Amino acid sequence: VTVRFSAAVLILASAAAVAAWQQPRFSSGAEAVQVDVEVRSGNRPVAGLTASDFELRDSGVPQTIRVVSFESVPVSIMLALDVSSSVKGEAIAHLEDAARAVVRALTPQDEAALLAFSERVSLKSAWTRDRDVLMRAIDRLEASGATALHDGLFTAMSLRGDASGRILVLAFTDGLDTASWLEPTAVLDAARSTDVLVYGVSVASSFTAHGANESAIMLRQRPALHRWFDTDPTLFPHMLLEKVADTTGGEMVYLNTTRDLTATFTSIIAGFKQRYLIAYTPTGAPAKGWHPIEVRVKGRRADVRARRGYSR
Amino acid sequence: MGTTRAFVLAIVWLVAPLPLRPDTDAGGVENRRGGMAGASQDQSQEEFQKRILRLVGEHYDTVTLYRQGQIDLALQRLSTIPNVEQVSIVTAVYAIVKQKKEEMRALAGAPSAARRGTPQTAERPANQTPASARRWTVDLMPAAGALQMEAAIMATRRHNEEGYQEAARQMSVADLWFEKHLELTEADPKTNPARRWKLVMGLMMMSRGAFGRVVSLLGPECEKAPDDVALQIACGSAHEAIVMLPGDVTLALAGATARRVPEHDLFDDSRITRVRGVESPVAPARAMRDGNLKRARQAFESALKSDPRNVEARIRLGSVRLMERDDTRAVSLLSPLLLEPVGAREAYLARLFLSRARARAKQFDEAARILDQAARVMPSGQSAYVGLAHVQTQKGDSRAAADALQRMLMAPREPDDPWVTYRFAQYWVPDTLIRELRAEARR
Repeated sequence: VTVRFSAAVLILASAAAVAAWQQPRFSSGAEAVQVDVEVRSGNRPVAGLTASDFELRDSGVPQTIRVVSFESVPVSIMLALDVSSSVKGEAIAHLEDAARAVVRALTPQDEAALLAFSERVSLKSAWTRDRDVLMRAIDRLEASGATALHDGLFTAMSLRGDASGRILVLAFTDGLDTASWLEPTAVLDAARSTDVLVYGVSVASSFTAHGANESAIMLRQRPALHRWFDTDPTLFPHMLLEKVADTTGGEMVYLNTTRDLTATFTSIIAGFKQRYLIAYTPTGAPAKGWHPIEVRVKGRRADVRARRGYSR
Repeated sequence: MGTTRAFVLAIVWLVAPLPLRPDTDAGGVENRRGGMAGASQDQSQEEFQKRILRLVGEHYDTVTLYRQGQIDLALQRLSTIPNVEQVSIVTAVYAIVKQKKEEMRALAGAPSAARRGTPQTAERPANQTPASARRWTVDLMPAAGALQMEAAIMATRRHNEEGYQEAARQMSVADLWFEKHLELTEADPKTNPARRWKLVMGLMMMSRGAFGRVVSLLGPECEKAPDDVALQIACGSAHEAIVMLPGDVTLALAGATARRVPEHDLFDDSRITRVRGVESPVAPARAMRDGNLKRARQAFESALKSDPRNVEARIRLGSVRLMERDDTRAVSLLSPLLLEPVGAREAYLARLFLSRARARAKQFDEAARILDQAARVMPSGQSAYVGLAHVQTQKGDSRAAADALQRMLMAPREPDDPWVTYRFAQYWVPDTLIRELRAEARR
């Protein structure tokens, strides 16, 4: 089962952008806002659109937008991988293969980092363009311990370091959080304030506490699960990664088996590079607080996915 | 002899008032059963009783081995005896010991009757019970119970459904040993070691995250012994852990809702076992959380009533108060711990919990100060660093947040973050308690 909420926002502070870009950033005094938008017709990306094809509302107020050519922007990919004891054996081998495929898909301008989390959050490789460093870090992954998904996700979204391009956090988990200090709301708040995109990949076993049938039912009931999560996130933490992906404009993919990880990771990276980056300077929108964003393509049928908004 | 047949005979033995007199008892049983049993049943019962008497003698040797410290060998010998026959052994030993006791009484208290050769209370002449079986004394019975508890612990270690069922069977036999011992000695029920053995079992189940089973096992004991501090902390910790790891329970509730199953048996090990026509899992999940928090709070309060200085109970009650959003009481419980000479784990946890209350009150500087202290107390404590990063984020200080995360990534990996073990209720490895219980069994 795959659900895509592909899009992203890059909130760029104009004057202090370069300096701030080097640092973790959770809120923005941004003047310019960039929104990473995916446009699809069926399963195929739609190319050739210009600024005049888009309509964007910030807090319900139409904005004047321009399209940025994002092919020229390098990407920075943070792999945030669950290496808790439940991925021992075949699963971690598949996970390592998938991570290697991501590294191979990088262009010379792209960079990546590797964060592993079990009950411990460990930065296995800082941001680098050196593929060998990344490959060696992947080779050293080991599975053990409980799952600190919340803490790992928060850290992955926060470790901008020297990343200089559009940042994608590609997070994998196979189960529920069992070890984090941070509550789901803390992670969701961070997702609302960051400019990184989060893509989540999970195997269905995260829903299989009581068997495969239960898993299938729960996956079909995800709209309901979203509502229940919104009502009380601490009671229904299963949806956190999907909510974070949704909030940041990323994508959530559920797999039945870890054998599909390599194809999925590769597809996500390819999809990440096939999107529009549109920019605008907010006018008529409130200065602070949560800014809901709506993006659509004028005059044609297309699936448009962008993040739900941003905090400033 | 088939298991069913053996079980029936074991029950017959249990209810029979004169268990070691097959010549009269069989008739009595027949009468109670409406004369349905025939001569072949008499014969089967007699064979069964002979077998049990032989096992009684052998089991004396097994328990003696256990008392001598040969635990594995004793357990191996015990494992060869079917559960129903283990029950019968208890009943037979009880009868033998009682008979010996009454014989002693008769000799000591009724010499005239003894001289007349008319036994007052002994139901079976001593020479009809094998000498090997007559070696049993009342003092040996707690050791026999302890051995059954060791078998239950061993079964629990399998951590699967079959193991837990076997553990329950072994515990029921152990209970019988302890109860019969109390009955014969007329000792204070508080001296019954069963409760402490069950505490060991509960802590073992806790170590594998079987919190619902811990509640089922220890809950009734906690109700009976509100002044047992260790027991109350175990019960409270199990309830607290259920709240802190809600995933499986709420998911199952959600699944039941999704399927609209009118009556769905969710768990064997949960207090919420039935969901009837639930439209949304939110209300039952909240009820489950609130119910567990209430039970946890009550348990920790009971512990503190008996031992007001108990640090574990104070920290855990503070944690529960935080989850109940009663931050004022949480702060009043946790703040004094910052000034007391407690262990590093406790100092760390108290600060961690206190920081959550401070951050909720938007006292970010104070929360950050406390978390920094926590990180210094426990440099490997990941939760302190990530909590600090979050608080700095809430303050709007992204550089300080990044610094906190850098400290986290550079931190030593050992020892484990106490928060993780706390969350799984891993607060006590009961090795000392097991040693004490074994020593008692040897006395």
